[in-house]
Amino acid sequence: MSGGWKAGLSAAVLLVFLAGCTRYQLAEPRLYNFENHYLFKTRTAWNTTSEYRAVMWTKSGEILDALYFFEPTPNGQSPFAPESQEKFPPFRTNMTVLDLRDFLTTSLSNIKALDIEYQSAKPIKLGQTDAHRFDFTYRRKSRLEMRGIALLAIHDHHLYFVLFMAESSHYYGALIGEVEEILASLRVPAKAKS
Amino acid sequence: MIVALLAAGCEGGQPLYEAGLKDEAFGKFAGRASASDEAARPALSAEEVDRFIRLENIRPEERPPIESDEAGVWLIADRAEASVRREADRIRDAELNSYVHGNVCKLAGAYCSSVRSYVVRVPTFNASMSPNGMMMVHTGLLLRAGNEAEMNAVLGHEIGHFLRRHSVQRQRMIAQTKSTLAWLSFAVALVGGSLNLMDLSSTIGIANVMAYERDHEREADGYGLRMLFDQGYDPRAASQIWSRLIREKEKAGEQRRFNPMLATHPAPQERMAVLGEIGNALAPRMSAMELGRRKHLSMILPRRHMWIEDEIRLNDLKHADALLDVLIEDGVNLGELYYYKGEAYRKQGSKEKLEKALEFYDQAIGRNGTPDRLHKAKGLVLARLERNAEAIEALEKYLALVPEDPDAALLRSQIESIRKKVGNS
Repeated sequence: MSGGWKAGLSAAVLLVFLAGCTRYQLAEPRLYNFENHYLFKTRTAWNTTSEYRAVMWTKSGEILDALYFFEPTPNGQSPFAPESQEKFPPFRTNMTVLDLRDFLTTSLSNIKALDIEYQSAKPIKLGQTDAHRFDFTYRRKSRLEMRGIALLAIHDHHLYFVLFMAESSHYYGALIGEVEEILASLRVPAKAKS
Repeated sequence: MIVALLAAGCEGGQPLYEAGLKDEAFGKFAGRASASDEAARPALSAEEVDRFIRLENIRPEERPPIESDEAGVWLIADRAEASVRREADRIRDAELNSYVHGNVCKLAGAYCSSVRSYVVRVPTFNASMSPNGMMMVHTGLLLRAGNEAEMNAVLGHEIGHFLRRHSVQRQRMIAQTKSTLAWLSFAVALVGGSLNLMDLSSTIGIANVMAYERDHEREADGYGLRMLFDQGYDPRAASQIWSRLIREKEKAGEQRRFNPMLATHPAPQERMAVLGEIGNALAPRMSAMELGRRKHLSMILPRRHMWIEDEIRLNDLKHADALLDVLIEDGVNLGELYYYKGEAYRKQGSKEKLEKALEFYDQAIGRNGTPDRLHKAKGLVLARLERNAEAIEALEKYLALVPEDPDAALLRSQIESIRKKVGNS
């Protein structure tokens, strides 16, 4: 075996390992269509990665700001975890707006959000689809104050769920303009995949 | 494996529970006892006490010398305490903290200024003690204790850990075990012994450390019992809190999974039985004893709803159902408890669970402590079950009772959407 061949093999192995470390990818500013579940556009670049049933976007790291687009969740399941993790409540297609808020509260409590308070709840449209928007605040265990927005829509017997959460004293204010633009452009296509 | 089991079996048992009762260093074993109380003292010889009290008690306001291994353990605990002080789940309710700390001080006596208690909003039956005197009390414990005596049995147990310096004892035991195992492995390797033999020696070591920890728990239980006796509380409460917890676990269908080798605590059944036996022997000797139920309930009931909601948010229906059943056996404010049984079922959302939720809401109505928001929850359940006329009736009833509810606008729009649905059908 020649020395050059060995070096090439070592470099290839190293690259494979390094590729495993690259968790985030760049999301360029453009129009996005997530598997025909969500359509939206952004005017700046974000960092993006996938987590269980969601695509997560962030500017400064998910501790400080995170925008999640959850895959449509069918009846009886949770967008946050597999069924085996029973601590997350199941979504039900017959939930009322207040049930959806309870569902959100219980789910957030189980990712260690404390003192969750809602500032507003209002009906909105995601294109032709009826949805609800909840604006809320909470604290992390470390007492970091957070603010968030949750958009939830029951469509085609699935839960469509977009969640933005950011540290409140700086990061929320710095990003909210752009996040509002993304949310305003958000559409749930009429013929969604199930 | 057999040797490991034997090592685990070399535990103290009842005499350890009694060691605290005989500890003269903590003060005279007092209690509100009759003049002829001497006979009530557990028959434990001075030698036996010495065997279990391996280290001198920490002295009130003592801080270990900086060059000691104990000081290192304290420094780590000091850092943890600084973080606990800042954390969001620490309860800052002055009245509740004062109640809990008042009890800690009463039990700890001369150690009052050495122990700092923090109530934390954690829905599990637990309290903990750090070597530096930081005590954490979970709301899950306050919720489950039926009276002050039951709560104090646990607080006294934690004080026992502190004054017996169990953390540093444990650290020394681990260091000693590791050193012994290292030499044993070396000897095994020298004689060409197999890796399996080394694994076995590690298992024995771990079992030994765990058995040692269980002995500390027994010893701390004894201190809890002794502090109840000294302060004139019914000593049988120490056993009763374990009985309550066992009933809850049985109702939840939790299997008895006691691992005699690796368990960090003795089995609850053992604690209930031994503490009950000693408590029963002590109680007749006390001229007066109390449970402190009224005072305890006056502190707990106004806050109970928040802690039950925390338990329900764990989203474990069996667990919430069992807890509420045990609280219902206690019989206080049943309307509130049946309402929360309904809530635990409502969160699950299936048709069967929603119907069960309605049954519990109906059981709550007319009983003490039923919150007005029952009608809101009931209306939402009826709406999901498409029992539209009843849903509108329940939601309207709620809005008449609580017109200023922050959700009033949402509820009115809910009523309108049900009406539209009924009109369209």
